[in-house]
Amino acid sequence: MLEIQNVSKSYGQKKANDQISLSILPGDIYGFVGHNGAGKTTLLKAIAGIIDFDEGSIMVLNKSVKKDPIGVKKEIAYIPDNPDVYESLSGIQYLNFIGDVFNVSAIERQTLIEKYANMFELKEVLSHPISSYSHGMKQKLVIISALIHKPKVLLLDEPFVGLDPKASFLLKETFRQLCEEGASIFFSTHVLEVVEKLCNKVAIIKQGKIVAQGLTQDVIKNQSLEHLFMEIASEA
Amino acid sequence: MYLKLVKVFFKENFSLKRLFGINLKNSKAKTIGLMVLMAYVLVVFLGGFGFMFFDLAKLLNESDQLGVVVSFAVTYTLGLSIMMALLRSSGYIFHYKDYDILAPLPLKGSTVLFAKLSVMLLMVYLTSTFFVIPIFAAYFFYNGLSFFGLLYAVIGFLLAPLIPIVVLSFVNLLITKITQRLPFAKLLNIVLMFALFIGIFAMSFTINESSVNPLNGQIDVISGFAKYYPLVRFFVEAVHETNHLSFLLYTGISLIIFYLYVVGIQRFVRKTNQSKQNAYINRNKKVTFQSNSIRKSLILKEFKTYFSIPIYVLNTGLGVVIIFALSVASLFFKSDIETVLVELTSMNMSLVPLLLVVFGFSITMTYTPSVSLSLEGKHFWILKSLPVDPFEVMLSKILFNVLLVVPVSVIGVLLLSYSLEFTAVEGLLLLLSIAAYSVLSSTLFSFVNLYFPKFEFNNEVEVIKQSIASFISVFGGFALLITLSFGYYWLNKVLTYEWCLLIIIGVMIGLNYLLFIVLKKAARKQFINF
Repeated sequence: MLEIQNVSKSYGQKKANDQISLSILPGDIYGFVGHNGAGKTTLLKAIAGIIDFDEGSIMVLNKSVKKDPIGVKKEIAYIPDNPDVYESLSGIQYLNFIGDVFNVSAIERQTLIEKYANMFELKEVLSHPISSYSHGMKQKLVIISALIHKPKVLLLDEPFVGLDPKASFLLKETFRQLCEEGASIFFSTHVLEVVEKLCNKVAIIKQGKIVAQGLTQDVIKNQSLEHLFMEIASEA
Repeated sequence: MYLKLVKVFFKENFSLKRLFGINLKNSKAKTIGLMVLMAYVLVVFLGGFGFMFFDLAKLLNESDQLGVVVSFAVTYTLGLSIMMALLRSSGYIFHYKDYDILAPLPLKGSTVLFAKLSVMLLMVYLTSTFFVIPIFAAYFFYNGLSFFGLLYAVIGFLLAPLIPIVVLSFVNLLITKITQRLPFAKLLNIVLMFALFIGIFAMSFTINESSVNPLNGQIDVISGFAKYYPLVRFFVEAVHETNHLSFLLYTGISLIIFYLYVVGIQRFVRKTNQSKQNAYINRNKKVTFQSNSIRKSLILKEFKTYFSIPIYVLNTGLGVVIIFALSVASLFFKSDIETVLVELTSMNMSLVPLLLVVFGFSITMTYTPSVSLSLEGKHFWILKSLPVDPFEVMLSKILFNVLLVVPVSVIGVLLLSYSLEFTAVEGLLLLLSIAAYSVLSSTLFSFVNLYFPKFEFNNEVEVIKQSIASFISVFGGFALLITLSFGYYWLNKVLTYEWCLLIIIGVMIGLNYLLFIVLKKAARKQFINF
């Protein structure tokens, strides 16, 4: 589904990603953890085709991000760490815009928008300007926009930040449901408990390098992810 | 602490990266190109503006009215202060974006406010200097340099913006307060601002028909203004007559009013910054699930963005307003135009090419493609992550600009054709030329933004008015227009004006075709590098 091979990306002298290789299969909920500035966002952006990378290859459903970026983008949804969306639009105008870009029919988008807007309690404010939304409401809107075109791969950068407990729970449930339907989810987070409970796979990144990856239970073994993370962080 | 704050605010507004949107250290070629361009513009501007004022000062000196030149300096500074206060006082004083950062710090409210006002004043000084230097150069050239004259001129210039900022900041707040809770608040705000600017514009450019120098027409307006605003008189008396009492009055009044303002509005400033700017929300508006093509959707997004930023419309919509106003005016001033026509015919000049120059200047002032990509700013991740070809994004920005210009121009051409009795061929040539120039300038503007983007900004005005892309586009646009005019001039020596225009239209279409091919590759390459 998503194949990352030897990907490297530098910003000047600093290597943000150093020979990263990961394989994400259909049905995977893959957690991606690391300290601030470790290179999580850079990798997510490289997969989403937002930034270029220096070496390696990224394939999504056998399409190369470098050679066929538009083809890849049709299959994925990306949610950034900060939900900055067009404040001049209303919620529904933004969702319609995303629907138009992904060529979602009017009937289908109505069904999906109503479903997710009800779920995340955003239906009443869809006609309101986004500028009147709180941070959490914007986050919910971005999540809905990522779901209305039924992506095969979801890339999310700290998706639980700003969500209330109910929305957070519903999002996790949605993740599970999407993966049961064959989608793959790759997300970064600092909430290690979420990874332990939700993800079947995990990767830990440190200074641009993957230092641990695999099935969550195999990686953490008989300790907690927090202990493992602290151990890795304290290693020179 | 005040100086530290000013330093931080100044860096935030005027650092080279902030001004140019690029790190100049990383690109030598861009730096050299920019420096050459800026030097060229500076020389042309100071030279042109200086020439007009030396000409005016000479005339006024002969009639012993040289003091009027001084009133020009203060009036221009006042004008710029008025514009700055109207457009920026909300962001600098009443609703500044870093309030949540500054409020918890152990700083006196007056220190923060004074630092904010200082940066705003620095902005006025920086822009006014371009006008004031040639004016004073002309004045002192004919009057002779004196210690007190120069001292009073400098201090007077520094104090000139204080009272306009005090008054107009309240006007700005009032307009925002009145309009923000109404439907179409932004549109109302735009209309009010346009009405205000056009009023000032029309007043200050009442051109004296008999004079070649347009400044002569402004003398009466400025003299009239001085009657109602005595500080202009005090300033002129202080500089021109070395009247110490007038200087004291001017300085005292300006400083006392400004001091009272700073002390008096502190609580009010805290209150406005704490209150949320609640926009009007239509709670009865129905949610519709309408589907559109990608291109239409992108263009609609541009329209929404455009009309949600009043300063964007005010700065890039003036050209369109001028086209419309001139076309409507042609219906009412038909006889005056006919007089000009007779003069032109005697000079062997055709009206259509001259009108095209006016249209061209107005179209060049509509420069949205040179800033619209930058305005994506922190939202740019959306377009970059969506399955949309970067060329399609750029094309939507070009088409949006063309849609702003062409429909109004069509109405303009129809009105002009009626009032000036153009033939169908003349009308068609006008339309084709306008459409071709509009597409060409929009495409070139989009190239400028592609290579000189500025995605980091606190306020849109930094992109729309102060970015290097807008600067290059407007002056580059004028250069393109002048080049095309020269092309016409040479062709017209051997061909009729109809054939000249047809050739120029053909050249513009051909050039545009080539530019589109290049833009396709360039957009894809640049987007991934941003």
